[in-house]
Formats: sequence, structure tokens, C-alpha cells
Amino acid sequence: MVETAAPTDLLPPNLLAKLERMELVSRKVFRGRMKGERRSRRKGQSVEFADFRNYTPGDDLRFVDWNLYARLDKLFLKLFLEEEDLHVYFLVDASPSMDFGSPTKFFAAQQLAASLAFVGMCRGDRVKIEMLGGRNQSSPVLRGRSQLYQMTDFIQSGKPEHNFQLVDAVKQFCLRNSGRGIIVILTDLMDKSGYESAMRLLVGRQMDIFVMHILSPEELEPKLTGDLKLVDCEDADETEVSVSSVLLKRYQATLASFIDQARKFCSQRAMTYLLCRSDQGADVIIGQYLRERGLIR
Amino acid sequence: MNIVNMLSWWQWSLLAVIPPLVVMLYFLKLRRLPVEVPSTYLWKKTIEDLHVNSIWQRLRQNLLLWLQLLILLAIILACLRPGYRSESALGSRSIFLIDNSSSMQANELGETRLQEAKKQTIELIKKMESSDVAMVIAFNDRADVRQGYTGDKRKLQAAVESIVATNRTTDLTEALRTAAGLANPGRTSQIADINDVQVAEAVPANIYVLSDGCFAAPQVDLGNLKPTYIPIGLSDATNVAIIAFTCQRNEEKPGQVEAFARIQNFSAQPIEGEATLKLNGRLIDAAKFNLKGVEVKGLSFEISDLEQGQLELQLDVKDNLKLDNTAYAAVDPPRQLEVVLVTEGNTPLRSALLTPQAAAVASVRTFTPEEMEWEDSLKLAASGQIDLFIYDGCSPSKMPEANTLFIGSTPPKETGGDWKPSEPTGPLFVIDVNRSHPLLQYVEFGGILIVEGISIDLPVGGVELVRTDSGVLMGVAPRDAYQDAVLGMRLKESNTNWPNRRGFPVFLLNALEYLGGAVSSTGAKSVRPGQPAITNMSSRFAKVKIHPPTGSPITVDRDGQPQIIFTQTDEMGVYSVKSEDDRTLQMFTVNLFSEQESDILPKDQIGIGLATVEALPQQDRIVRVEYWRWLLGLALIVLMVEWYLYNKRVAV
Repeated sequence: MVETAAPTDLLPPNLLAKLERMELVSRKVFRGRMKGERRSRRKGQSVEFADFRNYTPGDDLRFVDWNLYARLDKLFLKLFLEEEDLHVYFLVDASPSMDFGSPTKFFAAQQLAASLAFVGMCRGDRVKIEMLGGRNQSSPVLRGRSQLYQMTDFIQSGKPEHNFQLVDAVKQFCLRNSGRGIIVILTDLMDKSGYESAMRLLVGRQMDIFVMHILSPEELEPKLTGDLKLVDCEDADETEVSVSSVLLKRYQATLASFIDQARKFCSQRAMTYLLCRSDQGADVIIGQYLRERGLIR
Repeated sequence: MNIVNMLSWWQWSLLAVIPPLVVMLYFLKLRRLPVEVPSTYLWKKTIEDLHVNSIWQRLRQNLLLWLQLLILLAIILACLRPGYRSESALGSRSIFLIDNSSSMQANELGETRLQEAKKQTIELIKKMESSDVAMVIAFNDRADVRQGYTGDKRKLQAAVESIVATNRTTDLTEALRTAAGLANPGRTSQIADINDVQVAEAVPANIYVLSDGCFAAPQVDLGNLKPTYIPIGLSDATNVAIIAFTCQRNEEKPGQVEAFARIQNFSAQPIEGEATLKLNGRLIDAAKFNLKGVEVKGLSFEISDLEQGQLELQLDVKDNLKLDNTAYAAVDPPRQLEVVLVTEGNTPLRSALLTPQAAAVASVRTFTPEEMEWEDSLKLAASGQIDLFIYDGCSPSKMPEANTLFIGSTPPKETGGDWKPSEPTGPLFVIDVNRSHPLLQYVEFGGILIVEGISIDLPVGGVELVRTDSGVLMGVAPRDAYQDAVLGMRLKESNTNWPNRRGFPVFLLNALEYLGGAVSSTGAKSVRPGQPAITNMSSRFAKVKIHPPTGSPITVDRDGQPQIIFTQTDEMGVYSVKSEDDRTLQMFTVNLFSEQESDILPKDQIGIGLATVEALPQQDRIVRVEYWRWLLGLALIVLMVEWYLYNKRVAV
């Protein structure tokens, strides 16, 4: 069990410097709540042209396209795209199973969430972090670089203690948060009742969903030998195995099929699936891996 | 294919419990090491198809269990001793004659021939039907019935197992007579006599002679016995043997002993080796020899300054019978003599016989000439118990059965040979002395005065010892098996000054040693193992101890007998006869010295009476091919495979 890391461990200065230059990318365009830096579906007052429409009395004469009136002798109004803020939600799985690995999967999730949240905050997005547990803990809406320490404090306060079902925690989140935007869920998907129903709830919100599947090296390449009684840390379920090379091969096949299934499930529902190793480091994952996958620009 | 049950019912019961026990052990829950994992979700999915609840399916997949059961099966089968052997019946009555003579100790089969013979006999016993009876007789130069007729195979096997090798020679006669006697208990020669009740009908029996055939053909009528000869041994066996080893004192060189040995190569191949001679365990000489096929050679050794001792000749050669590669000889210590002095009274003579040196060699009894004519004395003279008679100035009416020394007189003409004395003359001057003769060694005659003496003419074969100016003064001549010495002058102070000289006691000592035979010229006697050793000994030792080569000494009470007959001579080596004060009196040796035993090539046939019994051909032998070793080997290999699998964890 690894203690929650110090803030400098979570976001080292060199990582922060990299993150400042990045931007979260959403494949969908959502309506925001406040003026921001992102294009909105709303037509507004940005410099980016969107469309023309016929003039109706009462319209602001400043947006009349006088050049067009001169040629066609008709009044048309120029419409511009509105730039608004973006909702970015980070759902961090805080189940006891995340507290494994070296470093723990939970630490990797914390670091990734903190990094991506910081990127969002820097771009003026509305960032909200939710620790999925028995009772979800939500951070306040974070916006702007100034709230960095508030964000890291919240993330570090999370503890992987309570066993829960993913679907219940996601349902809680959906009920409380109505805004649309990006959801980044950081989890190991190790839920015996299945992760699919939880994901379907998120899909129903029509949000841009990124599933970051975090697995530890101990799960990817287990170094077990002999006759063992495997005890599940969440529900104390016991499984007796005699580890042999054949069994290990079977495990690898099962794991590959599990990952493949998750990837297929996500792609079929327009979710982006990202497999992360807990020992990979946030800078590597964000700097190379997420950039390639399009979450970060 | 047949099996031999090696275990009793309770041992089988124990063995039968083990396989279910092994299976039960697999049903027991394995104690597993608890390990905490993030989730058993994937592991459960992994073992879903492997994990089966049915115990039989569980066992089906457990390779280790099946291997263990295979090991057990191999061991159980090995306990049953499966094998293949001839199925021909032995016959209802069998007599097993097993040779345990010295030649059966040959080891060309890897084990001794006796062990092979025992093994083959046990195989024959195992073939017996339940109604068959058999008898076991071990034979060498005598027969030893180990087990009379019985159908109890265990008793027969125990009797065969109890047979041990001996160093004795072989003679089948007694064994066959014993077998015939025991086999046909009611057989008598007086069938016509109605009072001679025939106890039982003579029942035919098969005799199995398990031997190498190294014996002379016995002259026995076998009657109803049907002999079968099972030769033991290989025809390529090699052997070099010492077939004779003796030692002899050099009469001309006192203290020097010559040892002679004869060695023979009994195989067709040439053999070379080395012979080493040890005196009292110390190496004193060695000689190399090279023998062609079937060749005899002699070896001789000279040993100086040897009064008494034990000689051991050993052949360092690679052959199949070690027993005859060692031979023993012994040089006896001077013997204690019985001497009778017949005199009217002669102080110088008695004094010279009482010197410590003379007393150590001889015990002297003194008689007057009259006493010597008594009946008891005459019997004593004729008995041969006395080694030497000294007649001082007298002569007996009949010569005794012993060597004699006449001083101032000559043997009687009738029985004493053709001694011709002259009339006494004097004075006499010694002009020649035969110093090479043992009687006069170290005896000085210079300055001796002789007032009067006789000169003598010697009988045929006599040797002149001292010559004076008037003729032969002293001489020695043979008489039958004895020797008579004559000194032609009286030993009185008025007649000669010789008794006052140092040479006189030396002369008497020489006379005791030479004429009395105190110093045996030949080595100690040698007998074959098991043969009685007969030794002559002075009767003044009522009890003697005989020290065998190994083990504690055996005390023999003589009961006035002049001879000691010792029969416990099974062990080869030097036996010492010692007095109660632990002085070595005499020695004898036990050696094989038997060409018959040393010729170890197994014979193709043996003669019994007028009949010739051919060796049972090899294919007819009762050879049992055993599989139990293979089964145990299989069990071992399976065990190794199981261990490998267990460590590699190839399967669940």
C-alpha cells in the first residue's frame, strides 16, 4: 500500500511546464456556460465566421454585411461562432483494487487526472474531478491555473478504500452533473459485475468519453509460482491456483481477450479506449501516448 | 512367464493399502500460500475451464498421481518376481550334492562357483512340485547331510544357504554312499533272509551333482539313483598354483635352509607373475616367473641364519583361484630328545651331558649295563621311543631300535653290523680328523693325549671320522634306518685328556643333534586341509597347546601317547605346537598342494563307477530370467520423470 504522493510527486515542475503548452481536444462541440476559449454551437461574437441569415427587424445592425447589401440590395446578417468554456470531468476509480502495483494504479490515475485537469484549467475549461467510491467525492468546478493547488489537494485527499460497483458510482455522477463535455474515466475495469452498464450510462449522456484503462505490471505479467490461494482484496474472494507455465499462458490469453473486449466495446460506442501501464509515468503517457490518441494537442 | 511370490499375506495386505492411500492423499486439500491480488476476476476466468469439481476428473488430469501409481505398480510387480524358466519337472525325489571343496572358490563367474551352485540349487528347489521331496548334501572329501528328505522348500533353501566354502579336497565317494544309503533306507543285502525285514522299497531318486568335476571318479554303485551332472564354472578360467613347497636344512652349512617350490599353470594361456617369500611375515626374497600354458616350474630360495621360523610363499598373479597361490612351510626348532646313557659310571661323560646346551636338547636317562638287560629296558630299547643310546664301555646283546654311540666298545657282531675292532694299542696320535662331518664340527683334536685305544674297521657304507697312527679311531656307519657311531677309546682321565678340553662337550652336543636327530634336516610336515596332522613328541610334555594360524590355541592332553593326532586342520597356514611354558616344540603346515583341486577347468563329464555322466547341456539348465530388476529400474525412471515434472510444473 503506497501512501498518497506529495504534490511535487504528483505534478513535478518539469511536467507542469510541458502541460502548460497543451490543450484538451474534444471531437464534439458542446455548449458551454461561460465565455471561454472553445468554439460553441452557439453563434456569438468571435472572429470566426459561421453563416449568413436574413435580416429581421431588431437585429444588431453591426452584424449586417454591407458589402453584400451593396451587391444584392438585400440585407443579410453575418453570423460568427461563439467561443465558450468546456466541461471536462475526470472520474477516478478509487476502489481497493486500484491500490496495487508499483507504483499503484491509483497513483497513476491520480497523476494522470491531475495532469489532464491542469491542462484543462490552463485553457479555461470547467474541470471537475470525481473520486468514484462508495460515496463519490466531487471537487468544485476548477477553472484557471490559480486553482492548481486546490485541485491537487482534492486529488491527494482521495483514498482507495471503499469497495463499490462501478455502475452505482457512475449513476451517482450522472445524476449530479448535467453539463456536457469530456469525460475521462480512469479505472482498471476490474468489476466483477461488469463495467459495460456503467459505460452505457456515460454513453447515454452523449459526451466525449475517454476510458483510460490502467493496469499494473503485476497484472500484465504476473510473477507467481507454486500452489497459491489468491485472495481478492475487494471482496476477499478466494481462488486456488497451481501456477504453471500453461496456466500463465492461459492467464495471458484471458487478459488479452479482456482488453480486446474492452477496446471493442468502447470503439463500438465512440468512446476512446486507452490502455495505460501504471509504471509508465504520466509524462510518457500524456506526452506521447495521449497526444497520438488525440486527447491532447 | 511365471511369478514367485516373495511376500507373505500380511505384507501383501500392507502393500495393497498403499495405492488407495496415495489416491486419498490427492483428495486432501493442498495447503496453498495465500497471496492478495487486486482482483481474482481474470484468474477465475482463466481457470474456469480447468477447474472441475468432479474428483474423478481432477484425478484424470493429475499426471503426477498417475506416475506415482505407475511406480507402485512396478514395485508390486517386482515383488512378484516375474520371470521365465523351464517348465520340466524335477521328479518326485531329488538329492542335491553341492560341492564345497576348495576349487569351488574359483571366482571366474564374478561370484564364487559355490555361490553359483547354491543359486542354481535354489532355483531347482523352487521348481519342485508340492508333493516332491528333496535332500541336500554338501560334499568335499567328506559328506555332510544338510537336510534329509523333506518337501519343505524353506528348509531346503535354508540348508543350501547354510553351506559354506571349505579348503578341503574333493571326494564324491562318501557323498554318493551317503545319498544312496539315505535314499534307499531299507536296502540290505540279505533279501533271502526272512528275518531281514525290508523297511522300505528302494525308491528311484535323481541326484543332481553341482560341481566343477575336480575329483577322481568314485567307485560306487548308484543302484536306483539317476545322476545328473550340472557343471559349475567357465572353461576359460585361469589358475596358477603352488603344488609343492618344502624347505630343507643344508647339512653342510649349519643354519642355512633351502626352500623349494613347484608351481604349475593349469590354463592354456601363458601367465607371468611374481613369487614372494616371507619369513615370519617379513619379505626376504622374491622371484619372477613366466609360465607357458600347462607348464610346471620349480623355484628355489636360500635362507641363511635360520634356526626356526615360518615361511610363506605367495604368488602375485591374476588368476581365478586365490587359495592355492599361497603355501606355507616351517623350519622346526630343535627337538627334545630322549637319550639313554648306559655306563658303569663316567663323570666326564655325565658332566658333558648336563651342560645347559645339552640339557635343552635332550633328557638323559642313565642305566647300568646290567639294568639294560632287564626286560623293561629291552622293551624300551625295542620300542623306538628313545632317540639315542650311548654305550660307555659296554655293548648290548641286541642292538636297540635307535641310533647309537659306542665309546670304547663296538656294536655286537650279531646284530650290530660288521665292525671289526683291533686289539688295544697305545699311545695313539691323531693324524686326521674329518671336520666336514656334522659330528666333528667345531671339535679340536690338537694336543690330545690318548694312552690306549682300539682301531676299527668300518662296515660297508661307514665314514671314517678320526684316524690315528694305528688306524681308524672313530667312525660312523648306517644300520637299517639308524646310524651307529663308534669311538675306539675309553673316556677316563687315566686314558685321555680329551674330556678336559673344550672340544669334548661340543662333540657330545654334535652327537645329540646329529645322531639324536634333534635338528630335523627337513622342514615341518605339511598336510592337506582337513587331514589329520600326526606329530611325535617327547613324552615329558603331558599337555601341549596347538596354535592354529588364526584363533585361540587348542590344548591337547596327551594321555601318555607318543603321537599327537590333530584333526582341526581346515584352515591353511602354519600350526605351532607349544609347551605349557609357551616354547615352540614343533610346527606343521596345512597346504592345499592338490593338482586335482588346482586344475579348476570344469569337466565335461564325470565318471561314477563304470558309468560316465555327461554335463547337462547349457540350454537344459534351469535358468530363470528375472524381470524384477527391470521393473525396479522402470520404477526408478518413472520416479525421476515425476520429480522432473514436479519441479518443472509442466502440467497442473
